[in-house]
Amino acid sequence: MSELSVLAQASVSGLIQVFTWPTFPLMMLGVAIGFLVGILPGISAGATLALMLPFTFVMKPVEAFAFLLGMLSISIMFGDITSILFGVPGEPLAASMVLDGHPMATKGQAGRALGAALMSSLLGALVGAFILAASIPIIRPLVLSVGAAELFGLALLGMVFIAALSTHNMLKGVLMGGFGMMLSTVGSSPQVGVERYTLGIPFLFEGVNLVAVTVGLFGVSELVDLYIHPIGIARARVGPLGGVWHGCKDTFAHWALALRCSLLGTILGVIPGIGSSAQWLSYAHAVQSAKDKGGFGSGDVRGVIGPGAAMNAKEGGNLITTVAFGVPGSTTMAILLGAFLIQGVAPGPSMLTNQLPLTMSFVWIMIVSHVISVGLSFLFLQQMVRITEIRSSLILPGIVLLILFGGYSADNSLFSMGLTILFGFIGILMIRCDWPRPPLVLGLVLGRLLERHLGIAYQVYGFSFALRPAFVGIVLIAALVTFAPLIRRRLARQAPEVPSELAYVPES
Amino acid sequence: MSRKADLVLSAVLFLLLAAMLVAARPWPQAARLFPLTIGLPTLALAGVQLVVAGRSSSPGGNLGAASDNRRGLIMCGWLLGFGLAVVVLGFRLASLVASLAFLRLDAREPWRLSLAISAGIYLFFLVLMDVALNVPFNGGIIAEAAGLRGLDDFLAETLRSLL
Repeated sequence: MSELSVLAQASVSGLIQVFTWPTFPLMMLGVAIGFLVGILPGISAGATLALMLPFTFVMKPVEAFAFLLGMLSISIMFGDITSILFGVPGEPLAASMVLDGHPMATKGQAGRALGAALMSSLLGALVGAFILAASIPIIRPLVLSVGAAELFGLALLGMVFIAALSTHNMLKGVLMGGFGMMLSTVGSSPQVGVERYTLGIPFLFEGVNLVAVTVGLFGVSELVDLYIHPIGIARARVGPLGGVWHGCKDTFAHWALALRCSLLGTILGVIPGIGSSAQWLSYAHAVQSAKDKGGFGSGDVRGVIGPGAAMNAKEGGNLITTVAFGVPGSTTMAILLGAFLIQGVAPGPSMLTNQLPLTMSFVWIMIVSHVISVGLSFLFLQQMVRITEIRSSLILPGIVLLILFGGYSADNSLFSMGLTILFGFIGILMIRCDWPRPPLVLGLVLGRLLERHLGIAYQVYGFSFALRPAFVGIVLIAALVTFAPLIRRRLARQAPEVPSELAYVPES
Repeated sequence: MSRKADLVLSAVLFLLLAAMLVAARPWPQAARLFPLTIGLPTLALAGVQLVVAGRSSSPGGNLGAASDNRRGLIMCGWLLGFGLAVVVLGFRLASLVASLAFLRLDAREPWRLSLAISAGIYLFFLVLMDVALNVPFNGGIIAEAAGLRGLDDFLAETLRSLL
C-alpha cells in the first residue's frame, strides 16, 4: 500500500475516532476547561494540563488526548481575550497581543480586535494541523530508520534544548534534567527486576509517580502565586462587543500576513524551546513587513493578526517533534508527554506505524476544537467575557483540592498526595532559587524511555554505540547547546566595553 | 536568604546524587548502566554548580516582597491544612469542610456564597468522582477508627442505589 493511502486511511480512522462517544464530549469538556484557563489570568495552560492528567487514568488514549489537546489548544487561543480587553495576558505567551489589541479596545474597537484574534488563531491552528499531517510522510521514513542509539541521543538532545531555553542558567537546567532522569530510575529495574533507591519502602517499588510530581511542581507554585496576586481583572463591565465580523474580514484582507505568520509559528514550534517566542517574532515580522508602520503599538489590526496566527500554529509544529521523536518542544508538551506514558503509548516510531490513526486524531482534534470554539465564541462572546469578573478567592479551594486529588488519584494513596505536597514545596523553593522545573519533569518522563533505548543500544552494539556517527553528531549538537552560553559570555567579557546608553537591552 | 537557599539546594543535590551513585555500584550491570551513564555527568555538573553557588555574590533567585513571602507561607499552610483534613476526615468530607473554612476565614466571603461553593465542590467529588467514576476515596482516620468506610458514606451509598 502506498504511503499516501496509508495516511488517508489513518486520517479517516482518526476523524471517526474523534466523533465517537465519549471522545467528542470529552473534547468539548476539555475545550470548556481550556476556555476558562485561557480567559483567567494567573492559571497557566501547563499547570492545568498537569492538574488534568489524573482524570485521564480512566480514559482510552484517543479520549485522553481529545480531552487534553482540546483544552491546551483552546487555552492558548482564549489567552488573547484578556490581553485585548484589559491589557492583562490570560496566558503568559499571549503578552504580545497587548501591544496592539489593547489600544484597539481602548479606542472602542474591542470586538474588531477579538474577531481578528479569533479568526487568525483559527487560521493558524488549521495551518499548524495541516503541516503536522503533511509532515508525517516525510518524517516517517526518517524516524523508522533511526536506531535505539540515535533515539537515546535525540531524547538527550531534547532534554538539553528544554534545559537551555527554560532558564537563563544553562547549568541548573541540565542539572535538573539529569536529576529528573535519576529520579526516573527509582523502583524496579525494567531489565533485571532489581529494586533501586526504594529504601525498602513499598510505596516506591513502582517508582516516583510522574503525575504526583508534575501536579506538585506546577500546580502548587501556581496556587501560591494566585493567592499572592489575586485575579478578578475586569476593571469595568465590558460594553457591547460590536465589530467582531469586521475583525474576521480584516484577517482575510491580510491573509498573506496571517499565512506567513502561521508558517513562521509552525516552523518555530518544531524547534524545541523556541516556540514560546513565536508570538513576539511574528509580531516583529508583521511590523517589519508592513509598508506603513506608524499604526503599530497604538492599535493596528495587523499587530493582532500576526501573533494570533503564529501562536496557534506553533502547537502543530510542537507536536511533530513530540510525537515523532519523543522530544517535546515546550513545557506543555513535556507534560503532555507524561500523558503518553500514562496511556502506555510510546512516542517515536510506533506513533507513525501502528498508532498512526491516533496521531491523525491529534490533527483532527486541533481542527475540530478550534472550529467549534471560534463558532461558539462568535455567538456567546459577550457572555463569555463576564467570566473575567470572577475573584480568585472563589476558585482557590477548588484548585487546592484538585492538586491534592491529582496526587491522591495517582495510585489512590495518601503517600502520593504527600509526595505532591512535598514536590509542591520543592517547586516553590526552586522558583525562589531560580532553578527551572520543566527539565526535572522532562527528565522524569524521558528517563524511562532513555533507559529503554540505552538498554537496547547496549545489547546490540555494546559500548561502541557511542561511536556511531549519527549518535556522535547528536551529542556534539547537545554539547554545543550546553556550552554555547558559557562561550558567548567569555567572548563578551573579552570584547571592548560598550557604553551603556548604546547597548541593546532585550526585553525580558 | 535566597543565595543561602541556593547553596543549600546545590549541596543537597550534590550529596543526593553522590549517594545514588554509591548505592548503584553493587547492582548487576543491566540495572546500573543507566544510573551510572546519567549520574556521573550529572554529579560532575552538580559539583560545578556547588562551586558556582559558593562563589556567587548575587542574590541568586527571585526575592519577593516581605508581604508576598508572608502570603506565600499562609497559602502553603492552607495546603497543608487541606491535606491534614483529607487524612482526618476523608477526601469527600474534607473538600466540604476545608473549602468552607478557607472561604470564611481567609477569603471572608459571605456565608451563603461560601456554603454554595463548598457544597458544589463536595458534590463534584461525591457524585462525579466517587459515585460515577468509582475513585476509591479514603474514609479518614476518624471514620476508620469508628469502623466506618467514611463519615458521609451513607450519602454515597444512597446515591449509588438511586443511580
